[in-house]
Amino acid sequence: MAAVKLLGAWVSPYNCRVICALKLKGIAYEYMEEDLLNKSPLLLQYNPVHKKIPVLVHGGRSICESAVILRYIDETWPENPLLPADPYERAVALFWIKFADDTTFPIAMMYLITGEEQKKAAKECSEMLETIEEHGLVEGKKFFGGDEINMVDIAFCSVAHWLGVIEEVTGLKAFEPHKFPKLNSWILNFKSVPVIKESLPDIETMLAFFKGRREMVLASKSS
Amino acid sequence: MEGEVVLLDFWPSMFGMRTRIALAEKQIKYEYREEDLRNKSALLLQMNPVHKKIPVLIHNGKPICESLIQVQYIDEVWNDRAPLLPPNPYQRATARFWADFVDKKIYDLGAKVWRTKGEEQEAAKKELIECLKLLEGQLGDNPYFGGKDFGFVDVALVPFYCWFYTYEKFGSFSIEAECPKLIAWAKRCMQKESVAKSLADQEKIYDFVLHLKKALGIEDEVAKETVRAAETAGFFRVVNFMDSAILYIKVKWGILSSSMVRSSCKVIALLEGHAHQRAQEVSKFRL
Repeated sequence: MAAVKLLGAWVSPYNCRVICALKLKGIAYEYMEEDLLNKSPLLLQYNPVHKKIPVLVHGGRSICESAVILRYIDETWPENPLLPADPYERAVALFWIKFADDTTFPIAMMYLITGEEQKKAAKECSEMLETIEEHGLVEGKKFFGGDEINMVDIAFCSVAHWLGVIEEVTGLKAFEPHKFPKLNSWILNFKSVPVIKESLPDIETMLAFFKGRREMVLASKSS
Repeated sequence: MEGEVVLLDFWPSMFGMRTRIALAEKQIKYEYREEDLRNKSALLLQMNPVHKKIPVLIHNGKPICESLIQVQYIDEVWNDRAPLLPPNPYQRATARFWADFVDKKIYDLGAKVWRTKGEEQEAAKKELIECLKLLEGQLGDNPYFGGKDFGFVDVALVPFYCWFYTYEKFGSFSIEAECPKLIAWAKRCMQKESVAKSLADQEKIYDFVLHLKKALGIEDEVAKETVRAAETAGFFRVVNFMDSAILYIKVKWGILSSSMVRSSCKVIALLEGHAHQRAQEVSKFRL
């Protein structure tokens, strides 16, 4: 089997998605942490178009964009499939993965910005959570994937794990357990899956990192 | 096998065109329903409650949303003819990457070219050409992005070809001069019946955009009047006004409280609506 490498950044939820998928499939890989402020020549070579992580390298060929990487992993290592077999169910899953792609961004935004721009991002985030609660999650289903987690659950890891950290660091509240009961259940279920627990970055480390970044942002705004 | 296939669409939409091309490639009979985006049908709102957007593909009563997802669905269900995605995972990943690139870049840049002026427009033109050149590079010497055969990336990109004329007219530039190979590729695609029948006429698109710009311009004027009235009454101080008739309201006195955020969002919403209704609504939002 050709070697698998992952170029990533521990703090990125997109990177985490790929780690979750690799671990769920039991795929051995070499992890290379990228310094995003000083990108390696390897990263620039493997992702010349976007110059971003994560990048999966398999047998010397690179695959970029986390959603594309997830599908590549699922198709190349078909055991423990991460997408439904039925084309319609698969289309629905892909819809929610795209939704996760499009809405994860405001979460990251929230620590970078201040003032009423941040309020705007918090409002968008809240609306996004309402949409998931109302349309994405089915009462009684443990995960987006049913009884087992699938690609959709992985795609929403930023909601499960990053949102709480960002909220603590910025003081803003978008998620309230009583307002989003299905989402709350899902988060608890998702984070209790052993492979997921292993793949998510440590909370304390994340808090320290984002608090530091937040301080830098606030300092640069006041100077 | 076919079942009932319905497509909710809007004739100038390049996203709708992708699905039309895929359906035509597979020779699937379907019912085309034109949506009035200013007066969306109950069916559209029911079938795409999350985004309320076209295109929506409805197969045996079940909706599939997002054009690239529709194309992949069509390819999977009608897998006995005209394959759009290549067989091996790496080639599929490459195809998905470039289709995603088209999604991320071309629509927004193109919209900026026809919507904006001056520096913003120049920057958008420059970046659009850079992206098209990257795509040209990816095409290489192949007849299609799919290699020998018309494929997924071709479907994702070719609908923009009927919009190039609009970009060029508003931006005063020639895409063919910068990307001749890409235009040659587009013309090659247009020789396929599925593409020729699915793309809208480029002059009709240009007329459509001309009318749209005029309407937005008029709406801008009414919105500006309403905002001026609100300012005079001391409700908000407006610091920024964007071309797309969406108003960004900032209060000079500091961070907005949550009630003010709600108010300003309502004002933003009402400025996109009717003039006399707006006047009534604005009067409700005293600070």
